[in-house]
Amino acid sequence: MKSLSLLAPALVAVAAPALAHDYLIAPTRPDRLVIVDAEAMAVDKVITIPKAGPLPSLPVITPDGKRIFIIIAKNEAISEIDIETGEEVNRIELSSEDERVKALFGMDLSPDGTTLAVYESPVKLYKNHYEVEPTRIALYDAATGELKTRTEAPRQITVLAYSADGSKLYGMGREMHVFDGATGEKVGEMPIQSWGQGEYVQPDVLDAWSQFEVADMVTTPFYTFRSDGDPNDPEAYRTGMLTLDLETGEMVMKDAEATDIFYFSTVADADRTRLYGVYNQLASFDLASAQPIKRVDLPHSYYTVNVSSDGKTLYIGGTLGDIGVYDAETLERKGQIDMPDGYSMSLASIRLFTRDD
Amino acid sequence: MSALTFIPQNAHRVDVDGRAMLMHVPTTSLYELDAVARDVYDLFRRLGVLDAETMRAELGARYGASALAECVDSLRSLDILRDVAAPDRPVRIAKVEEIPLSTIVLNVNTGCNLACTYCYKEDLAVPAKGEKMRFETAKDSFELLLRQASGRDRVNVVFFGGEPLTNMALIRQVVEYAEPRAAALGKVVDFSLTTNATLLSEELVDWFDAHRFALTVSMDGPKALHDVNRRTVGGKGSYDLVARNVRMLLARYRSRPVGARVTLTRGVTDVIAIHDHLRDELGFAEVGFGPATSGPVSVFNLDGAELTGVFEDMKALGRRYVEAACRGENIGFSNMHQLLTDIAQGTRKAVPCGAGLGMLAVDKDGDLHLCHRFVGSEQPTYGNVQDGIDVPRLAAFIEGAQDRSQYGCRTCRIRAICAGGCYHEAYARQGDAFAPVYHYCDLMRDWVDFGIEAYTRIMRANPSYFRRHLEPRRAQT
Amino acid sequence: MKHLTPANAKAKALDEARAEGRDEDGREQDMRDEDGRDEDVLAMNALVGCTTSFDPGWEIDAFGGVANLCQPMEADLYGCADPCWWPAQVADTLNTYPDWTDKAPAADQDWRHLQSVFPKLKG
Repeated sequence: MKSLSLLAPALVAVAAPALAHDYLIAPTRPDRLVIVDAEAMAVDKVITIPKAGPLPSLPVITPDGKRIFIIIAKNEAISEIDIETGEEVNRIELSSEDERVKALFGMDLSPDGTTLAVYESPVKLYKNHYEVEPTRIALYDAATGELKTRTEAPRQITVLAYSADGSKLYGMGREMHVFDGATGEKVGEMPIQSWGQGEYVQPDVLDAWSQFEVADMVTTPFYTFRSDGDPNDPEAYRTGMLTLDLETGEMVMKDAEATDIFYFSTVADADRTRLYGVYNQLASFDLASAQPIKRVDLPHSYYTVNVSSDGKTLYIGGTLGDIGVYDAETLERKGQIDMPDGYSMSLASIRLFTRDD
Repeated sequence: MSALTFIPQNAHRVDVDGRAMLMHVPTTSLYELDAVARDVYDLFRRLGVLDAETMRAELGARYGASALAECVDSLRSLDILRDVAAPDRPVRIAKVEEIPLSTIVLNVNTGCNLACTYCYKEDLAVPAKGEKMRFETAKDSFELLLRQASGRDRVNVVFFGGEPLTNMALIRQVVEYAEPRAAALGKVVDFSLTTNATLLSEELVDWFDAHRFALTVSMDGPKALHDVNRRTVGGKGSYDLVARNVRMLLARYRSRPVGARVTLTRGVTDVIAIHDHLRDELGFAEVGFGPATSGPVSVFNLDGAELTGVFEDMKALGRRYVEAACRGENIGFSNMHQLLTDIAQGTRKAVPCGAGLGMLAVDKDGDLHLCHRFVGSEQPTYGNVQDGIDVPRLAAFIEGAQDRSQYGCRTCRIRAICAGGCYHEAYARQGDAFAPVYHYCDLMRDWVDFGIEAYTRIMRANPSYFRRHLEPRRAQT
Repeated sequence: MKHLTPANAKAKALDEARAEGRDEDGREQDMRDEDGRDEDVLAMNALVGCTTSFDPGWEIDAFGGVANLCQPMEADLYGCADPCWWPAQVADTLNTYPDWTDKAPAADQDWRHLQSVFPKLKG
């Protein structure tokens, strides 16, 4: 990452966290991008995106921390927003006259900031019928918004994440698919469906949130059942943790605990010592062993969890109009950040970035 | 044997005292699995899809090929195992072409002399303002019943309200007309009514006895509990008066056993204490419990924790019931009687109750409602005692009620016993008579499991219990 | 019925009927269909409607209860409407009703402004 030293903020905060200041990006209905000063637990800036309703959903920040790409407008367009001015500087329309394209989940920017990878679900619209097309990965030039390539990709991918060196693009779906970072061609896959075969039945993974930027690690909970288990035995139902190290490309799936509750999404901290899961409860896990450490009940459901660069604070969001702030060690609630006017975040992803100031 | 797949929604296993009981959900047939069946069932449950080789590999060492084949055949005939290629069969909707009533419910007066806080009647009024049914309407109702029940030799007339005793004049007239009229057609007519018991007198009780009325008293337990909700318009508790009248009633009533009906609501949930008081202290033959029916936002509704608590108490009383039944004793717990009857007989319901099929309720204008609970509500009526039953409309309702797949009932293991639950309860809570009573679903499944356990235990210890105590009860209903 | 011993009246009746070639209502018939299933066994409907996934989660949670649903329900309302997740239960804002929530951007505060939606006739 030779360009890093020339640029002010670091996207992956591994050096000198004391200088870097954490911010959150929280999209809300119907057309807002809320920038939150994470440490001050206060809204820093509210940007209104033109014609973005009903919900801007997945934001991705550029490595220089100056612009945000965000999926908007019924998931059929991507807006590029200048954080400083709040202006929309570019827009990529995915749909055309006879083809409706949705970028439902899954978008990421290459580490060098030049390529925007988008997972697209297209439908051809004819006079009296629709034809569902194969899903695909589209690579756009981040500077101009021009389409570079499009390649067919497997269905049901919900998270796209570039490897730390940009050479590979991972797509988490029924398996962890691996694509070439430059061309989008599929080059391999790591098994999820057949994990634990013999001992466990086919795991269930469904995670639509991108929050892998702090640890450079994609994580998700998964749910399975012991093959020899008795359906009446609550211990036979298992919750597992899947981690994909974006630096090494190594994917690990581990049995974590008996399934007595659910998590919708998880996040790893920058030190890669802890995992946190959230839904109706917030729980911490030891990352290496996937063993649960602590768990607390939440005042309402949350979909997303992100973690400060120093690993000490958790920010849980999504669903309604507040981001809960928790101490990562004790899981005590430190407070909350209310979205302006209480507008709901629904299933937007909440990202964290740092700025030196 | 080509590959077979396990169909989990058609089977439910409950292990009772080391016995593997299997409920065949679509027909409510209960079986006991032997060792072979248990292992085959477990294997299919675990793997989902199996072919002959895998089964031989897993179980061939323990059981012979023919034993395994027979077992698989039995499970196939029940559609618990199915060829992977075989299609699902669509829900069979029984067409309704006629309405074979056995029961007519007459709303003799919308007036009531009490003002119980939780009453669901939407048309309730004080007795002075109560709307009374005229004899002509009641007579037409009975004639309608006789016509519809042409194939039956027994019919039922139920008097409802408000408080039915506030219109004794009509009740006497109906009885006087109906008894000889039914006899002339070679039929027996049974009468029943539910009362708050405040207006009973010795003379009235003797008259009911003479005509063999099946009586139920609405009473909520000992004074402290009963007076929480069952009050006069002035707000005074009715227990003292009711208890005095009930003692009098139970001391002289001979023709049939008298039951108590308890409404559980917030603050009135102590099932065991209530049963003790009503049955053991006052002497009712049996006690039945029902949670109050109110709309979705109501102070009377039992919340999640209370409802769970109530069901736990019901099971605690149920365990006493089972223990007594094994000894040959009947402790008179109506809900348990009903549950055990359903399991013993293997009741398979396409619809949750007889409303609209075996029973219709009549309001003072002669309009026909699904049941007494709906009289006075905004729900549609289905004809009139003068013009006749609106059969196409009623048939559409009953046919609609048979398919609850869009409500999530498709794979529920008690769908053949519950069939979506009380229409009125669903309507009151969710505004839709077909929406299953979701707040009970888990508790109901647990309750049925409890019933399977109870039934199995009683069958092992004292099988004659059913013949002696449950079957006679069925003949009356 | 081999290996399965009837334990209630219904099971006994069906057993006898099978032996005699009658269904549970006493009608004479060939009790088995071409797939070897008893005729009177009512298999259930195919799943009606479609969703983007086979999550349990709207009426009941994955445990078959209601303790693990999104709480309050408003918390999940838009999470379900926006990606057309539960199109039979909630108006979808992804395609058909993108304006459904215009008057209610804060679900927990403004849900009263949400209206029913009705299919529009096309053409």
